[in-house]
Amino acid sequence: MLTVDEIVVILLEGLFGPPMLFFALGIISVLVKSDLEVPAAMRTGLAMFLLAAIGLNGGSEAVVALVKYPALLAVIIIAALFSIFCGVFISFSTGNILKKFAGLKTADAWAAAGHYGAVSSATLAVGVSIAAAAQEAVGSGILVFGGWMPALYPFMDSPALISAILIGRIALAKEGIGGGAKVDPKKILHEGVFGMAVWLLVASLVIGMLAQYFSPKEMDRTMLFFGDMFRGVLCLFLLDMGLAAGKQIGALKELGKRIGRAFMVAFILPQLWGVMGILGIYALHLAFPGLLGWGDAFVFATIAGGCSFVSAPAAMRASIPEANPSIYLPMAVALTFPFNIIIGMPLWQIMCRVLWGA
Amino acid sequence: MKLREATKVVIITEALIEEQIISLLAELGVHAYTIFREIAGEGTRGIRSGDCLGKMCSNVCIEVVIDEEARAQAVIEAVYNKFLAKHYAGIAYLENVRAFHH
Repeated sequence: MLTVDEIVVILLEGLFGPPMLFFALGIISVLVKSDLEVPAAMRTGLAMFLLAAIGLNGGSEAVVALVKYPALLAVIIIAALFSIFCGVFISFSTGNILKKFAGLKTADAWAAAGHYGAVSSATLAVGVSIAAAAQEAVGSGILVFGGWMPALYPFMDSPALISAILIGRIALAKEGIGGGAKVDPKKILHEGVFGMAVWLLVASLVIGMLAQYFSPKEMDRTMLFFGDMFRGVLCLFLLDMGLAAGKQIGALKELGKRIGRAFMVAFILPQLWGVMGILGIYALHLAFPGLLGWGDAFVFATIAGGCSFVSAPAAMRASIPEANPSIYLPMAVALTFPFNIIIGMPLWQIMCRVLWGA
Repeated sequence: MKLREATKVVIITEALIEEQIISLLAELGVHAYTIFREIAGEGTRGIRSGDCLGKMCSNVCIEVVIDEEARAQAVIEAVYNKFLAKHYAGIAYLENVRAFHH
């Protein structure tokens, strides 16, 4: 059971870990009008490194675990199906809540809903760094984080975007607003699977599996680069995210009178989706004991609770152009992402550790 | 060297719809164009001034040189009606130029 001291440590580590401090530096840099900037090409490079590292690590861990416990395959398949359900459910519920409770226009509500349903690579990367550190701390004897969870990314991301876009377009057509953009689910699915983030992550996972199985020594040497540098790269990546968040803070005023409710939605909803994800993985843990650790449920929470702010805005701008980007972008970047990494993640971590008694 | 009068269509808009504009140009029989990427600016909508991640906030400039002015007019009208009149930020204009004739 967690003691109060341990809970305080989790909260403080979350707030004052190097990645989080770099995130704060990004926001402060914008406020003091510093010319500190991460060039666009470097941003892509940092994201590539993180995604490849997460994929390689996940793939190699998955192979080792699958060889040891073949039943893990059933767990992965059920978790993938649960991810699809979460993606559709989160988009559907968020859209309705934003429209009815937060009072957003139909187009804005469904465009924002897709962001909440879709997966945030940045949130996931922070989650993986915390879970992997916890696994390192206890050694390989006890399972905390199996590594393969990020493979569920596309199973939640694409269904979430497609359902938000389809429901949004149907709702707009009913209101007589339409003809704006053609919706082609095939194209959205193609972008969802072969878009940079998912494609690189899944491909690295497969590379990790093959390499770990056939040339484990080479794999170990490769991971010297991808493993040890992960946290440092994450710091620079979060600096960039902080700069982006800082630049969007000013845009929050577009929300006007709705800001109070939007604020609540941006904070509370992802926590609910994270908890829903944790409970699902906990149920799976009870059905297949010994195959899932608390870190797995925690990382799943970062996939479910994360709010996409790089790929989803582009998908939504193209598919629901009637929506105002000045509403969904600041909500995702300047409200939900900081909330999630500063407050949501420690809460999810505490919940997972209490459930697993770790 | 032979130069002749031609019309240049300039379209500055959101990077996101670059592909859609190119395919509209192709439908209109235009297959030669130049694209400038990663350009910045601000318009009356104000939404193009913020920097954000990914392609969302970057702009492109597409230039097309067309011999007959009537065709250039048709192209700029099609682009305006399909994209700029409704939801996407941007501007399109015509310029008189002199180009080499093949």
